[in-house]
Amino acid sequence: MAAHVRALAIEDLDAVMSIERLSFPAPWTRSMFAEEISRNDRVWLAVEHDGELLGYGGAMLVGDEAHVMNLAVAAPARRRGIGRALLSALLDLLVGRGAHRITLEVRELNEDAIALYESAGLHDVGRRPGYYRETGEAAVIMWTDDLESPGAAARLEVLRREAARALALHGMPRGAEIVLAIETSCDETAAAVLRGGSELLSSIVASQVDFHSRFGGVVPEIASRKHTEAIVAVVDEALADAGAVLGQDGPLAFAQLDAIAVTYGPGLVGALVVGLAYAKGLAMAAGLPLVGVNHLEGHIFANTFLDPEVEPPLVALLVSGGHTSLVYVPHWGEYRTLGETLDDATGEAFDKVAKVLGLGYPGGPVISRLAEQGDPAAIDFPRAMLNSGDYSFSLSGLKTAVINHIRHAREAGREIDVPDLAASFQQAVIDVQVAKALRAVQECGVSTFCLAGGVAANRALRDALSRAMEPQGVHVSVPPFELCTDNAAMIALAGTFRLRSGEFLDLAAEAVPNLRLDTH
Amino acid sequence: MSRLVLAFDTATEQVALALGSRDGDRVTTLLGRDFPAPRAALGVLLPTVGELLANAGMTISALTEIVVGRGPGSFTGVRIGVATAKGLAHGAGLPLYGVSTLDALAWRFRDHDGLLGVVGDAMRGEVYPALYRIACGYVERLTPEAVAPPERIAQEWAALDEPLLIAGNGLVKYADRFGEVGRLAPPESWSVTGEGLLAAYAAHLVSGHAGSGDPGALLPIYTRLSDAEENERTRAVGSDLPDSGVAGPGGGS
Repeated sequence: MAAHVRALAIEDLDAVMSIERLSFPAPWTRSMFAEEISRNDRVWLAVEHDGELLGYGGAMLVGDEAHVMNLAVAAPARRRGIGRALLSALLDLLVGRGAHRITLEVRELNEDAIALYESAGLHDVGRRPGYYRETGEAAVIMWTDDLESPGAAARLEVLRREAARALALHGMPRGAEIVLAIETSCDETAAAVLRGGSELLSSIVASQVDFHSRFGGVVPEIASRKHTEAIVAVVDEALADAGAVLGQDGPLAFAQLDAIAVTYGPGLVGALVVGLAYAKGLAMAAGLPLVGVNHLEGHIFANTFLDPEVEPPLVALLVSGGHTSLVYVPHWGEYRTLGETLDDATGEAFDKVAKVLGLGYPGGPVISRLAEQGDPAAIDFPRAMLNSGDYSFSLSGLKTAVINHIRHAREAGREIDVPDLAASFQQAVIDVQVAKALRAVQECGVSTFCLAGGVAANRALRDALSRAMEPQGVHVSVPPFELCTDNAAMIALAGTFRLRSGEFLDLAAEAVPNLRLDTH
Repeated sequence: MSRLVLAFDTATEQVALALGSRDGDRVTTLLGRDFPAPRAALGVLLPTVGELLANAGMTISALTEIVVGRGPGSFTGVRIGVATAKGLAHGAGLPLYGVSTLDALAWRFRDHDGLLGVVGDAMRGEVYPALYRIACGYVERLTPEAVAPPERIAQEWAALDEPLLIAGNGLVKYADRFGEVGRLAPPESWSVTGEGLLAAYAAHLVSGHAGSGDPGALLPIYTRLSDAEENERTRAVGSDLPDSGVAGPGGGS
């Protein structure tokens, strides 16, 4: 559980007094604090972590000005941004209560404090010599500019972000962080709980496929509606399973979590919005940091779940119903897309061919199953862009060729050997993908290759990649079958990485339906 | 001890929020914030909730219940409000209650006496209509949630032999049509307010229709199926299609 800011209460005064006595040469008395926090023209806040008081601060409001009177952080918690978090929350609250300018005095030799106040936009405007009798030091008098001015507002925004990060990471049990992940980018409502970046405590996927199948594809409006209906129950189930795995009585509580991770793109915008809106509400209410995850990064991270050898630099082939791309990963968190499909995604092509053959939706897996019994050399379908010299893919020409083949056969009254057709179509896809993937691995000089996305469940593609690469000394990683199609476990894996790098979404975050993987 | 209610609605281009204090079934608005935010609700909603709480000198832990506008309105807009409310209520362990966005607007007119017609903009040349009788500060709903062409509703309302006051963001497009069948409220009163949400919620408390409070059970009011399902119905007129269970007009609690 992250540290959080709350109102200071009378019950805190024992803890306050022990920090106060160790922080100041002339500490306030207990009765001074009791009097202060009871007054309406005062604002007093505390930072707490796991029931322990880490610091406190308070200010007095006078008209449209405020005077910060006290701010202290317990010695063991210093230099970790807790003072910054207190100051940020205090300033926000004071602005909310109508303060336009804020002032304070600080000991002239307290350089850390002066630096903190300067970062919040307070300037040194003068001295009161000998103000601190106990040490003989002068007080530095500091004032902010008008906090409604654009410059000051921007500075407060930066401070707010740093504060959120400091609170989120405080006391984070590195290696044992518990992350709840939420995924709603397409037609699966999913939630998962992961501990320490590797131990999956639960993973729930509520598939909507039955609601979409009779329309021959995902209907975005139905997907969004189903996410809205299912999201609370899916999260409850993930928490219940995680509680059971940990052997506790009842579900995992939100207070046991360290962060919430959520997919914020790419995907169907209306579907993403449901998961993101819910996750933001959850994070705000439970006082948890929110980590945004790129859905595609999640697919790549799915490889790390059972395969400890997966370490960048690596090349990943992302193949799903919505994507087909080759990505170079020099380090975790840095991605360079080498090439992608110019038209249909791989999974989409499989589904469309299945539809023409009357195999229902989603037909991709059916094609793969039928292909196992067919002859991949029976029909010579085009290998589009095989020798294009780049990493682009095109699948619509192949799809059209397959559809034409079917039409001609039907017109001529020839019976179609469906397994042969499926195997030949699949082989045409595989030949191009394997060739380009192999060349990418060689050109990037990497010895690890990852297959990712829903089509990674295709056994023929897995086998072909292994056969082509392993003799070259390249380690080929494929995710476990249940982590190939959309799920939240992969979002938790990538989310834990983002959490450890201290990257958070704020409550103003928007869904980004065409979110890119590339950082530059 | 009085309870603290957070209410918001993002079903239309107007974002409406309020903090209220509740004593039994009496709800008083403490602070409200209503502003237009076309296509921006997801980004502005929770930061505004944070500001509202800060202005009241409170944190989220002081809340005792959440109220959300369930629509009808823009499908995505409604879901932004409902999904955010589900997250807040679930994460804070609070009960979540829903009110109709049209009812919330109607409660802005509680000082009126007589009939009130509300038309929400349903896009695609249609409106979400609702008729209310207002007397002695109480707003009683007379018609169920629906979606219909404005001409048909205007005709129906023209046949009422009683003076009618009309409001709602549907008037932005159809003021001329509805101006012929009743008196139009001033345009600044055509959108939903946080205070209206709290008043509609208080009416549910009085009538005992507030719902279960289960954040998982609360659902948006759509009144329409998805396009794919509507087209399927049109094609299959006369045949008995199973309901997909996706979009019942009343939908949930």
